Amino acid sequence: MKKLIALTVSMLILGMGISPAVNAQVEEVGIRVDGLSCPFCAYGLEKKLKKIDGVNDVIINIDKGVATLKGKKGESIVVEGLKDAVADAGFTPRQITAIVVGAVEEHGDFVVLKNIGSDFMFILKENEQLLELRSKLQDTEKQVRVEGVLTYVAPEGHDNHPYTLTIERFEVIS
Amino acid sequence: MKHCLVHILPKGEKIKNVMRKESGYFMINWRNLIKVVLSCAILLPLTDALAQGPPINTDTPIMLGVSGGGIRSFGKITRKATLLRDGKEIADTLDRSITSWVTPVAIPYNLYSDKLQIGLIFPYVNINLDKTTGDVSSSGIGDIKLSAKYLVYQFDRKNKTIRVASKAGVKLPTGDEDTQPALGTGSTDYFFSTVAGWLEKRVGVFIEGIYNVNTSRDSLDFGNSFSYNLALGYRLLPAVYETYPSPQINGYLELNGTTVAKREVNGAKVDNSGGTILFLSPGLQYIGGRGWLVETSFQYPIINEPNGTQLATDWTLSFGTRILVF
Repeated sequence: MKKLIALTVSMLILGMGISPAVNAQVEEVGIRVDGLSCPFCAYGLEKKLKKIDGVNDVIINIDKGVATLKGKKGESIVVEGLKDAVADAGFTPRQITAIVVGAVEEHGDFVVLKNIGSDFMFILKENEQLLELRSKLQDTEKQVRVEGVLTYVAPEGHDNHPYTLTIERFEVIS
Repeated sequence: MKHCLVHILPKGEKIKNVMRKESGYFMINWRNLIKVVLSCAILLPLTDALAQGPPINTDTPIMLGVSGGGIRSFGKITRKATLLRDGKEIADTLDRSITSWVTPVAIPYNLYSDKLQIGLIFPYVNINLDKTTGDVSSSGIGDIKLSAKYLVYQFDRKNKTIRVASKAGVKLPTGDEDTQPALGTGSTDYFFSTVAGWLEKRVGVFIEGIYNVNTSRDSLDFGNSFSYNLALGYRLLPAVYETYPSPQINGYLELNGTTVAKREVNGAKVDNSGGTILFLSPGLQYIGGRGWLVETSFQYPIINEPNGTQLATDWTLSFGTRILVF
């Protein structure tokens, strides 16, 4: 029995040690918020956005009508529910932009940016930036930081990658 | 103020007075109409500049921030010391003056994603009636109001929102109506209102109509009333509002009017009751951070026409605060 306990504890410790390091993640998200014309009513928006998993800080720029969510170190911002949070706060959610770190992979018919240690991935929309990125990677599994526009598309049967990411800027980081 | 009360259509005077007596409502004359138009003309140029906070004397359809989860309280002093007969000042042999101090505490609570708001207004009232035959005063809880406001229309664009809300409520006879002066009307009354608001960058425009269905106490039947408010708000500082929260100062110019029908006793109209008053109300508001603001407003009547002979309101002054709690 003692051996079994020791083995279980060891496995738990080992398990903690080998749990995938989150070295790919949604670092920052920006969302354009329409109707954000009164600074006095932004309190509810800030409160709701701060409740989103992985969010460390929220910066609301009234003049630009944009809320920027900064991620916690080592954690990924959960983008699902972001638009609902904005709507629940009494505003109209519009375009979402994100800075995402991950690895580019072929995934069936799609090219995706995958978060290491997670099944969640972003479909990369074909454009010139994607072609340039792929030529730089040349089938290596290097990590890239991609900044672009997130669009919810939810292709049927692909529940783990409901968003496309249209690359605007990128950098190869490893 | 007196010049505002002179009629300029003497031929129509009798007809108007007859119509007033018949309907119990104020019939607007040309001079009053010109004053309203001129007041609007003063307000309108602000709209070409391009938000600010909730208006001070007018409701708002935007049920967010301090207007959604904030307790609001203010002190409002109302001074009545001018005796008017048919709109003209006359000498008061009793030299009466009424000074009232009302401190309402308003508690809103939002439901359904800030689309429905239930509210409670709990007033503390102090009224002093001074006259040559002796002064009387009373103080205590006034008539409590319960209301529900629902957002019926929302149009959002970048730095811009247009919203419309409708409200219904009830005023309960919680204030003592037997004291002199009375703290409440002793009647259960109902009100219905619609308010629209347009906010874009530095400017906010709000327009509101409120219909009060006033009931009766014993043989006294209170006349119904209609209130109409127009508010223009302008963010004075900062010129460009970047990162929330930042301190801001808002200026307001409002038109706040009410027309009250005559009361009836045993079915007979009381001539010295009801009338119309329209205030021009400048105000200032300071929003210091996420969860609080302070504000003040002065109301001066540009139309002051109580029916028959009544003490008229000379001015009101209010200053208050709203603190975010929910």
